[in-house]
Amino acid sequence: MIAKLRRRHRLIFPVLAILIVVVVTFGLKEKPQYSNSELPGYSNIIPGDLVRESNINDEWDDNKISSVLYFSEVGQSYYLKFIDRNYTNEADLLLYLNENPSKEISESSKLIGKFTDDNSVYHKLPVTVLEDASIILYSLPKKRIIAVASISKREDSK
Amino acid sequence: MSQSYQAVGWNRQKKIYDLMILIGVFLYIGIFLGIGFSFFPNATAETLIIRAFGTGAFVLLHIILMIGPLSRRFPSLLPLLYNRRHLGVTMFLMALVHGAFSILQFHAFGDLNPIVSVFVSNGEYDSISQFPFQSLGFIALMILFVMAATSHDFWLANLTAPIWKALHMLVYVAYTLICIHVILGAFQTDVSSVYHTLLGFGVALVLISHIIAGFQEKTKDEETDSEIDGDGYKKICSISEIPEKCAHIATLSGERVAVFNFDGKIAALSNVCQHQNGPLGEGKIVDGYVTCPWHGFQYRPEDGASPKPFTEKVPTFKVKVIEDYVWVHPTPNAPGTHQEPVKLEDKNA
Repeated sequence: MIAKLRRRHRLIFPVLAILIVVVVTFGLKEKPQYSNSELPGYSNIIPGDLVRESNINDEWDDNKISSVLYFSEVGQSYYLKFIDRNYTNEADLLLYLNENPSKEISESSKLIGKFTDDNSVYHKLPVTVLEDASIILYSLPKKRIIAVASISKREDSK
Repeated sequence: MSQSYQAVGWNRQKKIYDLMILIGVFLYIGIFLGIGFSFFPNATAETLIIRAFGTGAFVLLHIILMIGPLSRRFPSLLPLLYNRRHLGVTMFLMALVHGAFSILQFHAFGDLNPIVSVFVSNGEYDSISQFPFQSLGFIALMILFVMAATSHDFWLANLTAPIWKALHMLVYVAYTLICIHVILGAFQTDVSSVYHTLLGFGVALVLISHIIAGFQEKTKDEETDSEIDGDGYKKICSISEIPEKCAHIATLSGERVAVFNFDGKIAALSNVCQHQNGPLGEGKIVDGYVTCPWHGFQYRPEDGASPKPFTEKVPTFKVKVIEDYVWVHPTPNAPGTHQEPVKLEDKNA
């Protein structure tokens, strides 16, 4: 009786070994090539001179996202903070900036970094002037744009 | 062991074993969370809990799967085997925390039933990199649940050891599903190659040790082409090959037989313990009883029966000794049948 189980055990393990090796090989071969290590990342250092610029809520084309735009006089940079925690069901979201009204990601789009709605995180926008721009929230695993915010001319408000 | 239900039969060894498990689990989770919060202050508590318990359960599963083949090769590791089921239940509970938090975090707040959501929220079953890996983890968790729920001796006694062992061999299916769950899940993100190396090392250890153990056992299962006398007895070994109070294991009619030498007598029993099918012939005679090296179940060498109040019985075999050689008849007696051991001064009997 027990000899039959031993025979089954002897048969199972070579099969498992082949199966796991095949899955590992194909799994790693098909793995999407992320460039996360080169992302600008995000800053949780709050510039002391940060000034609240405006709320960017209605600008998101699905109106479900709440965000706030800040400006740092010293750094001459814009910072974007997300405050809507209901949007984190999507995994691995990336933020892109278009310095034009386009709602698509193109060669000229600038990668801002990984999206997070952590209240302590300020996404630094890689521009000093923000006019007729768009910010795109992109799902890396789904490879599609989740939401877009259109931002009209901001330099006058400073 | 009676078939009537009884809770865990605690003894000092089991308490120490379980204390070690608890300390190990708490240390692992504590260190993981401590390092996680230190290096990734933006990570949420739920995410770190999912990762801590998931990795902890996976590491523990590797340890559990290694205990069997390693303890066959290194008997000093047999104490780890003694209470392995408690390790298994602990591993299931850790996997359950991982699964419950994952389902809560990723599937509990939509319109769908969270468990249905695990299987249908991502429909890319024809993709490798986008495969809905969580469904594999869920199936593995269900297998581990069945194993944990039937791990008690109550089920072992009622299902009988061969069926129970066959059921618990599903752990290999669960292990494969979990490996694929990890490879098609966490490993599809930008994880460090250190994790790839660790997984490869762990999988290689489990697979190689089991394959080696399997082929070593195959050699033992091969029947020797030894002499058979006119009465059908088969020549097994010389008396000098059997150390005092120990056994020589031979394969007869496809199953193993343990031939014991004790107190100037020779007796043969089935090598298969009725409890968990442990190898009786790798045990010793303690206090006059054949004692299984796995969990200490005992049998009288004369009739293969456990001392009262226990009810386990194993088959005995007819033995004779001719000119210092032990001969055993390959047809087993019914379990518990008295078979007078051959006294060595009466050899040629």
